[in-house]
Amino acid sequence: MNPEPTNRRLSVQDLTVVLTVSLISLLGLSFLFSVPLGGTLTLAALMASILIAYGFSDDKTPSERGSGTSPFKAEQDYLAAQANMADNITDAVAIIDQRERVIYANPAAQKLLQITNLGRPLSTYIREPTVRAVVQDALKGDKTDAVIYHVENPTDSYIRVTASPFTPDVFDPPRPMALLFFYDVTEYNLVDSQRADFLANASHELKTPVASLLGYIETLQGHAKDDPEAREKFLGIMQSQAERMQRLINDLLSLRRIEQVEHIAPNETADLHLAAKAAIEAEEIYADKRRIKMKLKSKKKCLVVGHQDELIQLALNLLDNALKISADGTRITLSIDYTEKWTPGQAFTGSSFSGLASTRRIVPVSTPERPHYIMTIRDQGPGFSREHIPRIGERFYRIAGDLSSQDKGTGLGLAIVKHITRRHRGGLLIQSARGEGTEFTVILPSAPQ
Amino acid sequence: MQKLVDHIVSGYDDDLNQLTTMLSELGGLVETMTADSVRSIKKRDSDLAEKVVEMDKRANLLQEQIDEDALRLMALRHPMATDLRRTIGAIRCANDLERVGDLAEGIARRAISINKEDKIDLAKGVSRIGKLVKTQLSGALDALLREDAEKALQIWIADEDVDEMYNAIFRELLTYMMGDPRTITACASFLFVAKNLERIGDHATNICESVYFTVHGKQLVNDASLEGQRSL
Repeated sequence: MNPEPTNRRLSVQDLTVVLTVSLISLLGLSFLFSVPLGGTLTLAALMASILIAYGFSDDKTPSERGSGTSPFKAEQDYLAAQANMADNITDAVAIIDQRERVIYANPAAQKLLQITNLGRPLSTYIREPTVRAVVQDALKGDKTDAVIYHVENPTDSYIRVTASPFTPDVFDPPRPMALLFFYDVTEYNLVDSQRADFLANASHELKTPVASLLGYIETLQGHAKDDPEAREKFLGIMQSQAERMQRLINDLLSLRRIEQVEHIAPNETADLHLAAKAAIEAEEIYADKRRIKMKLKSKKKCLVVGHQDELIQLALNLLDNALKISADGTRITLSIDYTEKWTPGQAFTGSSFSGLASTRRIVPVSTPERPHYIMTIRDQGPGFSREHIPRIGERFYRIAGDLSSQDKGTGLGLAIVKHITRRHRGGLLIQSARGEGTEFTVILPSAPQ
Repeated sequence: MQKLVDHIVSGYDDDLNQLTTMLSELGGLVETMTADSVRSIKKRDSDLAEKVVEMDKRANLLQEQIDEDALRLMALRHPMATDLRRTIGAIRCANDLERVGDLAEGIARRAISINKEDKIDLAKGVSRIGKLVKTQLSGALDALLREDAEKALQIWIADEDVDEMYNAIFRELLTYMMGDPRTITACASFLFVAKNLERIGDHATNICESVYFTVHGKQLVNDASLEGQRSL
């Protein structure tokens, strides 16, 4: 049994808390987050109400601690009831106590920091030394500047933290705490380097086809002017070069689009079955021409958390890749399976490969306690030799002498696949053996029922 | 989310939390050292390399402190079950992290000598393996601090990529050296750097093994259910 919390009446003391916190939040937030003033006031009032709710001690005597209920649990339950409204704040908010433990985190903060249990030290979630320094300063009551730290998992992101000191008046003796606000600033930080990358990639890759086009134009202007046979031939080459440029530009643009939103996981529902079907329909003509059979094994309606267009692009790029490395007259199997729980060891068990296959997790799966859909695409192509496997998914990495470099590959297809999977917080695995073929596996969390 | 595990004696919790905090600090430090040492090669920044060398002293100090604290915790609190494994794990991981610090320091020292030579464009492969290793190390530390055995397992499996990439770099550098003997000095340095990075990857997997042991109470390498997951 949890002890019943005593109802506190709003007193002068509490009003002071409201004012103090409002002031701190107003000062801090209006500058740092450019939230409209009205929103800031609401936020401040919310935080104050949490603090009023937090009107009990976390320093119980050992005898109280031994009474059967964890005192922290009681605080937690009480906070959970009172902080109901703060839970709806879209910005990530956390409160750190004197011992640098996270004693409150709203759902946004829980998601951002991947917090599963409250009461652990903040350093469990953030290793950046500068963050700890500002939190310690705030706990001492000093004003602090915002700091930005970098995380690599699950995606590359930059997060700005502000720590404000506050000492709720409801405690006697006073108990200083720190109020932390987290703000994802990845967009501002990555956008510059990405733009530079994009320009470098685009100019470098487009140089070759443009140079060759210019060469043919010069020839056509010069000595091939009156030779209809040569003209036809050159125009054909020019067309295929221009088409290649177009594909490249399209791929680069879609890669950039995905990169820009990669740190924001999609929240809508999409049908994986539909995506696979659309991909097969789009490739049908090309596959027929090369007598490659494509087979889809899936139940109808496989609902996952995801963006429908991106999933189609994912399936299309994987299928495109499989078609390119397959020889004429072979078969490609696309299947979608469902699993109640996914564990890292699962994907490669019961595989159709002999023992010699090389495997790789291109994007590791984050494993929420949810059923997953597993999409596999298996071809009967030559298979990759093992030294290539770690580099698959790298942009413009093409395996010398393979079919895709001569045909219609841009070297970006699997990079796009990688980024889409990463954005969906899914997993991408590859298994390949010389002479047996290659299998790509995409694991995506299913949509909540 | 509501689950909170507290001990009756709050001082005990403080001790365990203190251990986590120090591991986190040491982890953050060697993470920075690894990233900075690779960057000092990529950007030919010897000043940055000097800083990394300097940081190693702090890493050694932190490891000693963790050892001491863990020993004191064992002597005074007699931890049981998970707490015992956690304490032992802290000692083991601190040891691994300290080694990572040493290896990063080694890379930084190489960087200083490489930067004295003429620029040759070989840093690309090294920075690629550096990025991968850094991700592995970060993942291992995330798994350690959050006690996430699933994540640890994934990082552990992915170490194969690091090995494969190291082999590729090894072959590449060998080709360069055979082609032009004047590059041998620089290439040999790059080989050492790549080797050190590969070793850092190994320490990251050691940490993952410790995490797995802390959570499940059995050794990862002996776990029969994971047979065939990685060509060991």
